[in-house]
Amino acid sequence: MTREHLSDEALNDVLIGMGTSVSESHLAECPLCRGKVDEFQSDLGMWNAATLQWSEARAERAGRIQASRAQIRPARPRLPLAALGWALAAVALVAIAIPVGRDVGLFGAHHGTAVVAPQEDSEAQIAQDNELLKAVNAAINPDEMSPLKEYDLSGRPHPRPRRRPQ
Amino acid sequence: MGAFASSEFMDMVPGTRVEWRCARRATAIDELDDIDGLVRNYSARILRFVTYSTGDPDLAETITQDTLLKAWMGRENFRGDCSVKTWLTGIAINVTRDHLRSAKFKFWKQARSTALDVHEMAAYLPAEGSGPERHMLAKEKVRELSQVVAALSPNQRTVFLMKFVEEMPVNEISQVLGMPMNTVRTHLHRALSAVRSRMGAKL
Repeated sequence: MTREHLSDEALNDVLIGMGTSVSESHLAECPLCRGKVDEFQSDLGMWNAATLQWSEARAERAGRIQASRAQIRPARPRLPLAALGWALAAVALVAIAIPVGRDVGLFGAHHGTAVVAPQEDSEAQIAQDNELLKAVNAAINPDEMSPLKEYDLSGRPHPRPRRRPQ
Repeated sequence: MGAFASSEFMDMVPGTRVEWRCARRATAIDELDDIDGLVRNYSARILRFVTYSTGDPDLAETITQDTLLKAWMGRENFRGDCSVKTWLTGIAINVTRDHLRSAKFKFWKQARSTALDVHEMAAYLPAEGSGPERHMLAKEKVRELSQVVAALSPNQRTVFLMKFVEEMPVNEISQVLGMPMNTVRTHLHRALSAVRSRMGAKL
């Protein structure tokens, strides 16, 4: 039997399960060191039993975990709200930044001349515009013939335009 | 030596380790699918772990609930390279960290005082047929150990709980915490020295 007792460090290593074979053989033969280990484990066992009973009682009493079970939905991939929020913020930022950037000339050679791409108007849009023009014209000058009629834009036959006396 | 418990044995047979891990994962997924069983088997353990980690039993209940929910909803992510208990402990640690970091918790930490009642905990010590005098002594030891553990530094307390309450080996603690094994060992040594000196020179 090794005469010297285990140092604190060696004893701690034994307690955390990292004891050496020398320590283990010493423990097998030294009742004092073995007693220290046993007493620690006994105290720890009591503590574990008491704290587990406490937490079991508390978990049961609270019952919150069980109650929340009803609210749980099946697991499925969800888009995190924070990510969605950031995505919307980014879209809004881009939507604001592009027109502003064009105005201040951030996007390269832009010297105040707006380049507008020609757009094809739909039939419905043309008809709507014509109606609007007719209404505006009628409101401005109710006696004058509509320019649409004047230039036969409506597609219907019409009398020749009446000329105003000079 | 249990045939399935020896990692050396598994490494010797090509493919066996992977199959074993897959089998364990499948079993664990079945276990994780059962939310009732999950709550029944693990809630008390997680609650105890988190109560000592935070020192606040009310907060610990919330964190326990969050942990189990997170585990259940992310059960497909369980890889099977550790036990369910270890995996849950890892989640509990992360959820606790999130709570501790949040400003909300800092506010409530100042505003509330639901500190751990070590006397209440000691009262739950099972009698187990011992005489009243021995039971009183045992209760006193439990109370004292609770106080020592609560007074440890956060790192020391976490590794102490993982080792002596959750009974995790040092290498697993190291993996879960992302901490070198020597650091885990150092924290454990310091925690043990504090506990043993407080519990009496005879320890």
